Amino acid sequence: MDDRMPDTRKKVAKFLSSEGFSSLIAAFLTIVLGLFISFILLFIFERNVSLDAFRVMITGSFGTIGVQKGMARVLFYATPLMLAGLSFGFTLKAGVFNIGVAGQFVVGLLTGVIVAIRCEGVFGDYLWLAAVLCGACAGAAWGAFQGFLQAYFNMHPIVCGIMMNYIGLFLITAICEADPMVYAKGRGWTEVVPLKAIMPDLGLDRIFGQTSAVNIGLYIAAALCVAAHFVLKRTTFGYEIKAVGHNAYASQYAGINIKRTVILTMMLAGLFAGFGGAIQHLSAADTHYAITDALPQQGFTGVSIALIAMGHPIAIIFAALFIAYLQVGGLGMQAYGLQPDFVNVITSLIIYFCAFNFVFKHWYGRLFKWLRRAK
Amino acid sequence: MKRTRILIPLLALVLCVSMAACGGNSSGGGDAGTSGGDTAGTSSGGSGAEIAFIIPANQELGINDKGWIQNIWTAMSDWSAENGKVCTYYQTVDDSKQSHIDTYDLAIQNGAKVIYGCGNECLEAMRTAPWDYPDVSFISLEATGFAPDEIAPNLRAICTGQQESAWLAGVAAVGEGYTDLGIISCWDIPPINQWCWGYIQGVNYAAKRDGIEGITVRHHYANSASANPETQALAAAWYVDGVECIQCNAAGGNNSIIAAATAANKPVFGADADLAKEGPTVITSMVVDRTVVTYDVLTSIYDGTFDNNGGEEFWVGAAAGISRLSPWESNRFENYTFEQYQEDIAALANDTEQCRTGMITPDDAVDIYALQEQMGDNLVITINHII
Repeated sequence: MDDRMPDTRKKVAKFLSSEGFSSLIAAFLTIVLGLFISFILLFIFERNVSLDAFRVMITGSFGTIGVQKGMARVLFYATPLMLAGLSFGFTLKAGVFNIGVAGQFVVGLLTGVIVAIRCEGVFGDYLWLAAVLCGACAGAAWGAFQGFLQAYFNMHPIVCGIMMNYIGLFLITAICEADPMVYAKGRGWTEVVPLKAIMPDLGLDRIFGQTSAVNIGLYIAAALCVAAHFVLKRTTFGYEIKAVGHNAYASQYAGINIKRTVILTMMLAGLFAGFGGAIQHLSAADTHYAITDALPQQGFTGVSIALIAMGHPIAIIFAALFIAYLQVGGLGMQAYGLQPDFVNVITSLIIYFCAFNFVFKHWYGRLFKWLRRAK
Repeated sequence: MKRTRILIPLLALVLCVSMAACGGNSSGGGDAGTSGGDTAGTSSGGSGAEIAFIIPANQELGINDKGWIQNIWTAMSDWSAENGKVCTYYQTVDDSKQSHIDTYDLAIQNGAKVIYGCGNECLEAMRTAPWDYPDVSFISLEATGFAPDEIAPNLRAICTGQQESAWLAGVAAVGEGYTDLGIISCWDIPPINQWCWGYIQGVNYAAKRDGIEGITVRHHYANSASANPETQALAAAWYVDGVECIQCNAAGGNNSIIAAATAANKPVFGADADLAKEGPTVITSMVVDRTVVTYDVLTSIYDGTFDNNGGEEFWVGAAAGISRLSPWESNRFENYTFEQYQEDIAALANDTEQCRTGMITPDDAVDIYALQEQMGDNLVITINHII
């Protein structure tokens, strides 16, 4: 028994210092700390309701609205976020900072609306599919154009992305406004899309209830995340993307066409964002799209999601669900008189702390080494 | 490294969902009213609030917008405090119909018996949600476009006569002696066009009545509802170009117009609330008193006289004392007198020469060209719409 003890200790020590366990501990600590700090803030500023509000936030209001409705809302809000996050995360692999997600998202959204209204009699029962695909292709074209500007004219990705966001928004809204069939003049929004353009729920209504807006878009979003993971992991093109992301000059020396890779990566990123935009609007959840000068928020939330997931396509699925969960919980916090802006601060704080993972991992490693030395 | 990427979001999600599972049995509505009154004397806050005010996501300034949202919320809070009720407000996640419906549902699950929605954004949700919750009273304010069979028995669809306040401002502008006028609107949408259409018709009415010729009104959509340098530069350029007074009709962009007016020391008309404190050259503001509307409708719910106005939109305006200009003591007119104002507001309330009932609204004329066409021979001023 005594002889075996050192072996057991070694095994335990090896397990405790392993990459997996330290990652788990670091991830756990970052989330717990984020929640703890947000609670402290709540306690300082809203002492009377801090406990109730915090409970609602971390339970996602499920206690109030029920698990079925709560899950439906989380999945519904998470669907476009997954695709916006994937759009940003995918380009991260190629070392490109695609801040133009919001523009690609809105181009996809309004192209989907135009096709849905204009081609009502052309695609029959598959109008929704045609509209979603056209929206995705429009997003891809817009993304590819950005990639082209970056690759051939050496435009800074952030400047290019920000500018192209607004050019895309104003261009597509101008196209909508010029078409009396699409734009409801004097109402400031697009006309209602035909019923056949609404995406089917594929039996999800049996799980989440008739009033839920969860639809086939959820499957499409998840499938695209998995497909992106496969492309990055198992294909030559994926390898090229990662190689360019790690070191563009070395990749060029190795014979990789950097310009082609950047354009194709941006095109795929635009495709994902375009899918997200079209899926967002062609659900039973919305009717008109209000034409404004504001870019859709999902485009920017997608950046946070991709950064939490560190660009990993599968992790983006969970990150999007997590953010959607906080959104639903955050809405419930307002019932306690908390201002929406304050709710945003609290939820953002939790997201922010997710970025501290590496710091905790480093500290854990040092602590473990110190403990071993102390013994 | 790769494991960590999936681990953080997955763990965060699992942690939260497991907490939800643990805390899932506690009812949010169970502590109704116990957390109300976060500050002494107010009735805001607390799960279980009986009256829920739902603000659209695009109202970025929320209840502090210095305009109509703040007006409604203040009235609602005051009424609730006076009547021993608890009210709260929610801002939707986005402007989709589903987001509005989800927010109504959450408020109702938290104990709300009155849902007070506002703006055109709530129109679609108000078409369906009241039918799903027959025991809850719904109010929609400033959402136009309901068909008669869409208004549920438990819904009061109220629209205020914004165009009537604007009409008074138009008459006052002519009374003040201005002949070169401007309007900067934010969006081409009915609630905004109400201010614009009313102002143009007020100017035209006064010009015709007083026999003044050569009045021009230039109009532009800024396509933005927030303060920005473009709107300020446009207003400044108009003043340099000879415009004597600009009507602010640009929501958050009003601050930019007032800033330009202050810099140029030129008069400006505010909208929605009394903006006299926002700048020294704010001559007056077109005011719609939503305090009265809110008090009346909340009282009707609790004294049992609430109805859906026979399934029709319910319009209130100058005849009910809702539409007016700023309180006279805060106005800065030099020529237009209190007596003239009293006569004009009486003419509007009494519908002299059908100046109220004959007014063309955004329902009749969807754009400024249609407005000009509809005014026909009646039009004695020149309207220049600048794209």
